[in-house]
Amino acid sequence: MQVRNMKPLLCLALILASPMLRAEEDVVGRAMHDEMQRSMQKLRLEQLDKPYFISYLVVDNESKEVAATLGSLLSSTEGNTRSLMVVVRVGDYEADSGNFLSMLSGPEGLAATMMTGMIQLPLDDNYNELRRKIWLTTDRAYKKALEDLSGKRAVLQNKNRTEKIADFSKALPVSITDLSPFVHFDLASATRLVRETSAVLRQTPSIQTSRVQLVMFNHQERYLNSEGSSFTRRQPRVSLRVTASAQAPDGMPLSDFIADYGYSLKDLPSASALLTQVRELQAEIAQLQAAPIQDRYEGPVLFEGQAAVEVFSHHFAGGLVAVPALVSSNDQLEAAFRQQSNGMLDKVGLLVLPKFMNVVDDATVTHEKDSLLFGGYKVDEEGVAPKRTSLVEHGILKTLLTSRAPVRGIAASTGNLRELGVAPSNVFVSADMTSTPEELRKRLVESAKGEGNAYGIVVRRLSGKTAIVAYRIYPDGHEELVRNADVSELTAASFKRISAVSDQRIVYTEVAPFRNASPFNLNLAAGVQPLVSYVVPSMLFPDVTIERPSGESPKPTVIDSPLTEKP
Amino acid sequence: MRTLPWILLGLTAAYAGQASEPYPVVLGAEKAELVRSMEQLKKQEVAPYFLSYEIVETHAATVIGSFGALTHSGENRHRLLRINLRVGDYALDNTRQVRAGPGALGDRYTAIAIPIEDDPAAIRSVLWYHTDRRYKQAVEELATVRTVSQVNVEREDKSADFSAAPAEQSVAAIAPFSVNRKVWEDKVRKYTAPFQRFGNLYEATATFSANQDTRWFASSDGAGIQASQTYYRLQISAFSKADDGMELPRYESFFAFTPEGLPDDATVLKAVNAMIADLQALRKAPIVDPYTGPAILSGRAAAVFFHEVFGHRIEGHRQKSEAEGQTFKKMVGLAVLPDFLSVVFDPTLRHYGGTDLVGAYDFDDEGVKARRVNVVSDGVMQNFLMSRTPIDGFPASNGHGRAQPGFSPVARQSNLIVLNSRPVTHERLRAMLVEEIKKQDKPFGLLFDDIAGGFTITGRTIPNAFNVLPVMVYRVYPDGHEELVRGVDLIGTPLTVFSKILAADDETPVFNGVCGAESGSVPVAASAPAILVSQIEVQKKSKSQERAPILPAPFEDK
Repeated sequence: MQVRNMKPLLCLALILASPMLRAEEDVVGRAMHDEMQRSMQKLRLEQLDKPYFISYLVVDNESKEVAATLGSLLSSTEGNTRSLMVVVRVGDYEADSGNFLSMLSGPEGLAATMMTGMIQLPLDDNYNELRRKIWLTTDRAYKKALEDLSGKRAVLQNKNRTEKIADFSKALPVSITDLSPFVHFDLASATRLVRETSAVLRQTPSIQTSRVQLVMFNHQERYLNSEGSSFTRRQPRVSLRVTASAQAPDGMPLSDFIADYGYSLKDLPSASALLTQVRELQAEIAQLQAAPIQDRYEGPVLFEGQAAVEVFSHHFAGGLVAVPALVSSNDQLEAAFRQQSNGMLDKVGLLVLPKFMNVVDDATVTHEKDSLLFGGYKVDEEGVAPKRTSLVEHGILKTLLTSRAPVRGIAASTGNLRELGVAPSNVFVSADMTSTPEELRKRLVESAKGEGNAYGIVVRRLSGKTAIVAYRIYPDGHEELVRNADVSELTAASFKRISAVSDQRIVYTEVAPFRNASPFNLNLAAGVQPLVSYVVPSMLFPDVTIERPSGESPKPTVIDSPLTEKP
Repeated sequence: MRTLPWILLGLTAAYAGQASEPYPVVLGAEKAELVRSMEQLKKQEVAPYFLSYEIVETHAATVIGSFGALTHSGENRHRLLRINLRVGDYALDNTRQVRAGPGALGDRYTAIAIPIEDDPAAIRSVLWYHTDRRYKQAVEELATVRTVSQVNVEREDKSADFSAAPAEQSVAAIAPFSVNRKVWEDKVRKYTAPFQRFGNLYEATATFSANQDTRWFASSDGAGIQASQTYYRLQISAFSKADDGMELPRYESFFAFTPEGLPDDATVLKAVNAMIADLQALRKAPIVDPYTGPAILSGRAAAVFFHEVFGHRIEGHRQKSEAEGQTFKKMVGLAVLPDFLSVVFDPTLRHYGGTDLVGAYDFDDEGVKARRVNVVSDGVMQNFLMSRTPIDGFPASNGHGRAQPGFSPVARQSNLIVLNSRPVTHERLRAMLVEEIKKQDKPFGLLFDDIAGGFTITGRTIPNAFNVLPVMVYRVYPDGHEELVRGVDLIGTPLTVFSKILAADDETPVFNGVCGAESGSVPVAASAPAILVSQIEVQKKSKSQERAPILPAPFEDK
């Protein structure tokens, strides 16, 4: 596990030391290399542009999945795939064929754009057939790039561009090998685990649906580009998810989940710890069913633990990413993508958080104290080695996370092109001024009281805008659970007014909220949803609206669950 | 293959002999929940008049090879539930399509996963939850149906929305299912290896799949059916491009109820070599010009042709929807084919002309017993393929309500057999073509040796037009010699083609395939003699704009 710039000897040594590649020659790597060389030398259609950049990414994915409900197996699947993603760029770094979506062929154009360059490769290390597929896919990607370049030039001729930004940034060639050990996944014991865990919920007929799912994959990527960069990296992952849903007596749907991740099975909670978690989930849902509905509340709200991470990732972190605006012959499409492309780019240099808060993205760290982080990597999907990026310092937004597609003011990649687009890696929110959790709660109640509220609200579990678990905290310190409240009118701008944060931070991992201006960054071949780990303190917001969910609840079930029947 | 009926008979006998065999757990769970639901829902203001559950377990193994290398090998087992819950009554219920549009199609598929273990409590819990949701949705739908029916003009078709059917009871044995994927991994490599040498072939795959579908159907009428079907399938496809960019495909497929029923390696490799020879010949073949004149459709081509252009048009529910062409609705009792041709659909036939018929089954997906249906007798239109959705004049199902697991059934084909009461030999048919060419004073006639359709290319819905793709077409000259051509597109309407059939031969080749339509993909078979048509119209096929690859294949690049 070493990162070096252009030191082939060292890398060779590492490759030889790796158990998987030692015994056999890397046929896939050789096929990629040989076809890349031929394409860069010879691929040219008549007098049209030659490719100036080609990259190949080959992804080997081995996956196993088991799921169960009520102690009974729902499915058990195993699979192996090997896929190829080819990127061909024509033009030059300043103006190329990328980031263009032709709408001439209608919605099929979008599908074609997304699928061009992608193909399944043979699982066998068969040199000739690997090359045949790489050759044919490169050919299609090149022709598409030529079409896109001429289409893009035509569209841009009719537009006044206020900003002159390059299409693709240069990057130093790297050669990186990151061979983490693969997960050894015992299907029989995994099956036993999901069966036993899900069987717990059999005793709770008021839970209407539930599911325990364990997924394991071993993911290996080989990358090569015409600038001389290459990498081989492995990402083993295990994920466990428990979901349960029910209805309150008035019909309101209630649901919650448990999500755990690991690099190997031993990173997951033990079977007995998991049973405890599921029993807690069971108890939580039972309490929620009996809890009152929260009517409209305006005032201070404290987000603790997982809810602090969710509020940050849902309302703020998405804006920390920037991708260039898409160019399209379809103005509506262009406008639609532009809306979600630039994140908080206009706010760079301005205050976006209170002066005492800082945000850093860092893919190079693996732990926060004793907790594992899952957002890290040695190299991103474009062969860029990530570094620590300070995003917010003393409340001021410094920069945004990018890929090699530059945006206004950010010319180089921060190394954040992940499997499905530009996304954060490990996000650390810190503060120069903190309070203990007790102080925060006290402050919450005091300021609530100051505004004439009988209580303050603390949210402890949040999913999107739904506060799954929230409590009213009264001045005498007692807490009262409320169910399924909606957190509304909270935006990225609200974060500037955070009044205090805790001295303790929670480590929590979520699936990345990725952002793409165009479907080109969508690397479907990768077949994995990247994870982002957050290290976030509890946060007290002075003015948040909490209200009952909008819309009508379905009626309760007409018949009771068959699990209530006496045998 | 000839031993097959004995094997099946043996299994059935073995099951019947074990009278003490316990009732299938899944069926028992379905029945228990069904009874409880009907009893409880009866107390509601709007009560269901019909409820059925169909749980289908699919156990599938798939192995894919491409150009001599393995690209996929996998196996999976899952169960899907389909609930048919109806409120209102047989004449008018919540399922009536009152609003045309794409939304209707989306409702046809619901993937509700059911535990794959025989655990009644877990299965019933899923049944209960989804029955409740389905019930609430049905009540809403009925209110909409009643309102819209009052507002709209009267429908042309006055038939009811659903028909009653006898409550069948049957528990068929489930055959053991095990596939040695290693063996098949080697076979698909071997079968696709001959394509390797050719740099002008851009795709060449062999797909082996073994599928066992076990169905448990229970209804509020009291039906209780366990049925199980196992198929083994080998499909080979390859494609090339002509220098002008025209895509040239070739397909071969083999189906059987047992692995032994599939052809041996030598037979498959012979077919592979024929595909290669055909593709290389097609690349050099001239493009056909628009032409009208006599033609022969080989038995294999005629079978696909009948399935696509006739079979889909006599699926009952299509006569009801006002959005459909309804080509044959007014043709009952009239001649649609020459008097020497008859068309039957027979799902009870498991074997024909030396081949297994994959369109065979004992019960359809609505719990109706399979039966032979005479659709055209001596040229005269008699009947439609019926599900439990009636049409005017055809109030009951004839056992053709079929669906892929997870989809809602509609009338679909089973085993289509074209019978010929005045057969001529194939040589005589060829001679008749030459006579016809001379009679019409044409420079040549056409021979359609192979046609692909939605039939062979799975997963495609069938538009109301000729959805056939001639793959191997020859010009036949008055002196009898043949010349392969490419880029042929068949045009015209089925009725005019049928009225021009002059003769058919005495052969009965079988085409087994998978047919895709609004109720998903279902296995079907078709068999027809070769037919001579006095006039067929063809035009140039529109071709892909993308040219052949710029660089030669890597191994051919010196």
